[in-house]
Amino acid sequence: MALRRLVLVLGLLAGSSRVGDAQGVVVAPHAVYLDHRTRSGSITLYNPGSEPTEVTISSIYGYPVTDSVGHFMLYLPDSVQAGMPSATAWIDAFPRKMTLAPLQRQTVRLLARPPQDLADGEYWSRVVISAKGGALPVAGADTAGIQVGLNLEVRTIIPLIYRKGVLNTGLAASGLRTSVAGDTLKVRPHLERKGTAAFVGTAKGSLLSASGATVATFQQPIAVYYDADPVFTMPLSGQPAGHYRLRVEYTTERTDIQPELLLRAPPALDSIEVTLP
Amino acid sequence: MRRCVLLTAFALLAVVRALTGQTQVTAIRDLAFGAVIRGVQTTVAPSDPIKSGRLYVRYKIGGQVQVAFTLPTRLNRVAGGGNMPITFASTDAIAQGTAGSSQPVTFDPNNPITFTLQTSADFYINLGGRVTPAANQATGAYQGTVVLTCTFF
Repeated sequence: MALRRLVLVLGLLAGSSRVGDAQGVVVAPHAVYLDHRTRSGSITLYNPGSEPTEVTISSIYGYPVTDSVGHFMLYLPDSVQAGMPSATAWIDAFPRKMTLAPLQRQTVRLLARPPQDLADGEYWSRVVISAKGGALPVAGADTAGIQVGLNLEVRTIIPLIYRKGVLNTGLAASGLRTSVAGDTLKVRPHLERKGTAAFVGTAKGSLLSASGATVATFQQPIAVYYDADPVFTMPLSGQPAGHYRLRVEYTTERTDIQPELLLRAPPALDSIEVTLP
Repeated sequence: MRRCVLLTAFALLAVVRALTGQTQVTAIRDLAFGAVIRGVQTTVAPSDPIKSGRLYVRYKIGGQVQVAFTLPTRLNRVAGGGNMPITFASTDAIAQGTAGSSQPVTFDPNNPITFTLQTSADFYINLGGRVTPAANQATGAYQGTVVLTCTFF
């Protein structure tokens, strides 16, 4: 009886991300890190749906920047120029194309073949996982009428980082500014990466009252490849009008990335007086 | 036999654990206009529970996801020899987190948008649109493809 219960629980766990007749893939991990010693890595794909899904793996060069309102977006240069830290040309995926049966898992190996004279540094790419299911069956519809349907395809883009040599990172925070929008405090710093590698970590904000008590917080993962002016939002939840101090700390901590893959740096701090109306 | 089942069960558990730190982008339901009439514009609202396109995205609380649609401007007749214009208005997409407190966000599917996941680690996107068959539109099936690209930061 206990054995049956165990198998049932595991079965439920395995099917927990299944979504009806969905067509798409689950991709793990969030980011792929390769180093010059092993030159390989992998991603795991899983088809949670009840229909086969055709999957294609490709790569592009790009990195996150912030737009005018502080949202991260992927910057994709028109072409890769000499001097750009792109790993795209020398990263291969095996297999590149596959059909995943319902509930099937597939490991995709990523192999790097960097040029012999590759300088020490961090090189970037983005892995694109494209998935599509079968065509919407409008073709067999009544030909006396007009039938219209659109198929949906999905693409997942995750970062790939390749490292050679001893690298370091850091962050300089400046120009901290705030604005109140409804019951939310919008926080915007200017962040500039230091060192030889992208700063991957977490921004942690605290709003302190005049007595020094923490009355509101936010926490958000960040990745600064060159510089960024992100926006963070802090719920104020009915804080009374008055004077406060906002402290923002940037650390190289991430709960979703294995600690040994993170480059460590001293925390960067910034603070500003805030007046709530 | 019992040992074999246990080993299989633990192996399955190991695979489930290996997929932590995962992202998911899934097409749940295609955008289906169904039968349309010549010369009559047909609209599918993103709130339509049957005909709207529906997608599911999962990441992590606090994470940011850039959502970008690649939308067709014309649908091709499957048998060849014709096409039909299709448009997407600035309110034809709605995103909503799965938490009880999540508020729906209406957005323009013609432009990329970045969401910060604050109340839930996953959300649904519904997509509507409109087709305008000509008065002399050839009968038959018309088809196109919508691509959703999700960039995880």
